[in-house]
Amino acid sequence: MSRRVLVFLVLMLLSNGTLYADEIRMPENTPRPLKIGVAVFVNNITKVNDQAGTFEASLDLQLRWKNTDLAFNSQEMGTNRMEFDHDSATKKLAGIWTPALTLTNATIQSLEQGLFIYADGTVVLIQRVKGIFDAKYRLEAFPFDTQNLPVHITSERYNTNQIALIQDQRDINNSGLSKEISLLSWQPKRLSFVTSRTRGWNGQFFPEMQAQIVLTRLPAAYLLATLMPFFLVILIPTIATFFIKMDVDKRMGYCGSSILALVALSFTYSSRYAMLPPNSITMELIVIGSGYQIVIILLAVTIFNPHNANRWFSNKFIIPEIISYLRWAIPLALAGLVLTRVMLISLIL
Amino acid sequence: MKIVLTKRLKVLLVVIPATLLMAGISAYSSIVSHQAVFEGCKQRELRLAATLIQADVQLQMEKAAARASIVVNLPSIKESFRAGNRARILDRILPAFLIQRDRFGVLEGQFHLAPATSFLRIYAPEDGQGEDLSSFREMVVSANKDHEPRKGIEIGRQGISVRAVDLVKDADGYIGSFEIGMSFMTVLGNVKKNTGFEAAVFVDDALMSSIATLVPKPDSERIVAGFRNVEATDWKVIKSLVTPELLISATDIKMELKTIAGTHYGIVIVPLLDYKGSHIGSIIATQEFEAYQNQMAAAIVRAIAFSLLQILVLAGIVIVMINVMFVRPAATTESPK
Repeated sequence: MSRRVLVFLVLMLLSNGTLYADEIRMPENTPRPLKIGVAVFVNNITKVNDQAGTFEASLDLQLRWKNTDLAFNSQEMGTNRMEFDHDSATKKLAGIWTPALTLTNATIQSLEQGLFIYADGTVVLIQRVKGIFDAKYRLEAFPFDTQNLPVHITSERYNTNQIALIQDQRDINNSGLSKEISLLSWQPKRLSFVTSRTRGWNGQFFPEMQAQIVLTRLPAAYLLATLMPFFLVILIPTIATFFIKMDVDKRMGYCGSSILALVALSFTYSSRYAMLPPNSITMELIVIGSGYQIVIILLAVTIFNPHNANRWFSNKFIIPEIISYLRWAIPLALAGLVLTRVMLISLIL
Repeated sequence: MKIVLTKRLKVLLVVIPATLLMAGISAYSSIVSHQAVFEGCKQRELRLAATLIQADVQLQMEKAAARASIVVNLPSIKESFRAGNRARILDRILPAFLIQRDRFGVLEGQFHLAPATSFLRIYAPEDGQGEDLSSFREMVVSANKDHEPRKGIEIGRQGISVRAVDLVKDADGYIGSFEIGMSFMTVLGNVKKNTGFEAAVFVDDALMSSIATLVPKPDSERIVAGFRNVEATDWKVIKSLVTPELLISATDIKMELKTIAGTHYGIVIVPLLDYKGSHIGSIIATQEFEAYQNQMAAAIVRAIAFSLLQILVLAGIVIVMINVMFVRPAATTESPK
C-alpha cells in the first residue's frame, strides 16, 4: 500500500516537474508588467455569417516585447535584426519566452509564424492566422447595422501583474484593414481596439485586447427583399377595399387571402432571417401589416358595408366623404409609418 | 354650386395652411428642444473631458511631488549630494528610477544646485553636468531662490513634462533641489481610458527647438501652425482633425464640433500653461459624436412624422366636415335647378 502511495507521489512530482521544465521563465531584467505591443492587420475577410454568428478572416497578429537577454552586438552579427521564418521561427520560439497569447474566439485553420529579434532585445513575433472567428452580432438595426467583429487576444497564462497588452503609435500604424477587402453586402470601415481584462478560474485577472473589425451592411438589397413582398401582400386588400366596388363577402375573401399571405411572409422572414431579434424590421413589418389588415377588415365591415353604414349614419353624405378621404389617407398613413420605422431603425447604433 | 365651391375653397385655403403652420411649429419646436438637449449633452461631455485633462495634469504634478519628496528625504541621498558624489547617488536611485520610468511614466529626474545648475540627470548622467539652466528653467530658479517646492509644466532639455521640484536639505542646511518630470503620455492615456477621447499634446515648436535640445526633431507633419505634436494616443485620428486655426485660437478652454466626411466630432482644446502661466501649447482631445448625431436625426424623423400625422388627421377631418356640411348639401340643392 505504502509503495503504491510512494509511486503515485513520485509520478505526481515528475509530472509537475515536466510541466515547469516546459515553461520558459519570463525575462528577468524587464519591468513588470512586461509591456506587449499588439498590432493586428486584417488581410482579408472571406465570409460574414450572421446566421451562424461567425466570420472567416485572415489576419496578421504582431506582438512586440523586449527581452534584454536576447540582445546582441549588431557589429559582431553584421545586422541589427535577426530574422526567422517558418520552421526556423518555430524552432527559435520553442527556445525563448513568448507571452503565449491566444485568439480565444478563433478556430484556427492555418498559422504561419515569423520572428524578428533586434539588437536591443526587442522581439517581434508575427503570426499570420487564417480562421473562423465567433462573433456576437447585434442585429437590432438590420439591415442598417454596423457590426464590430471581434478578435479576442487573451493571455491565459500570464496575469495583469505579469504582462500588459498595450498599443503605442507604432502598433497603431501597423494595424488596420487591407484596402483589398471586398465583401458582398458589407463595407469595411475601420479597425478599433478595446483593452480589458478577464477573470480567470483562480480569481486572477488576465489581460485581454479586442481588435474590432467594423463593418457596415449595405442595406439596399435587403430592404428591397424585405419591403417588396410586404407591399405586395398589402396591395391586394388595399385595392380591393378602396379602389374597386365589390360586395363585402368578396372583399373579405381578398382580406383573408392577404392575411394568409402575411402569415406565410412571416414564416419566410423567420426562416430567412432567423438570427434577427424580436424587435427587428421584419417583425415590425409583420406587426404593422397585421394592424393594417385589422383596420381594413374593420373598415370593410363598417364604413364599406352599405347595410351597416346607412344604419349608423343618418347623414347620407358622410359615408362617401369618409370613403373618399380614407382612400388616400390610409395608404398614405401606412407608407408614412413604414418609412418612419425604417428611418428610425436605420438610426439605431 | 360655383359660389359654394368658392366658399369651400376659401375655407380650405384658411384651414389647410393653418394646419400646416401648427404642425410645422410643433415639429420645429420639438426639433429645436431636442437639438438643445443634444447640444447640452455634447457640451457636457466635452467639458467633462476638459475637466479630466486638467485634473489629471494636477494629479501627475502631485505624483511628481510625492516621488521628489521621497528622494529628497532619503538620508543616503542627502549625504551623497552634500558630498557632491554623483556616482553614489546614481548607484542608490538609478535601479528604482528605471522601474519608475518603465512602469509609471517618470520621464526625468534631475538634481540641481542653486540657482539652476544641473548636477545630475538620472536618465542621462553624461549629459549637461554643470549646465546653467536658469535661462529657461524658472521653476528650478524659483524653488532654489525661495527655498520652496514648486509644481508645474515646463520645457526642459528632455522635452516638456509635468514637473515637481523639491529641496534637498540636511542638518547643515540647504544643498540643492531635485526634480521629477512626468510624461504627458500618462495624462493622455488616462483621458483615453476614462472617456474614450483620443488626445494629443502640442507645444510651441520654437520653444521646443531652442530648449529641448536632447529631443530629436519630429517629422514635419507633426508640426502644425508652429506647434509641435509631442505625444498622441493616435496620431492618425488627431492629424485629420487638427487645423492651424484650431491651435492658434486656443487661448482658453475651447469646445468645437466638426464634421468630417459626414461624421460629427467633438473637440476640446485645453491650453497648456507653463509654470509662469504663459501659453506654450494645447492639449487636444477628440471623439466621434455619431451616437448624438443619430439620436438627433431620429428626433427629427419622429417630429416630422408626428406633424405629418397631425396634418393628415386634422386636414382630413376638416375636408370631410366641410364637404358633408356645405358642399354636398348645396350641390344637391342646386342640381335640380
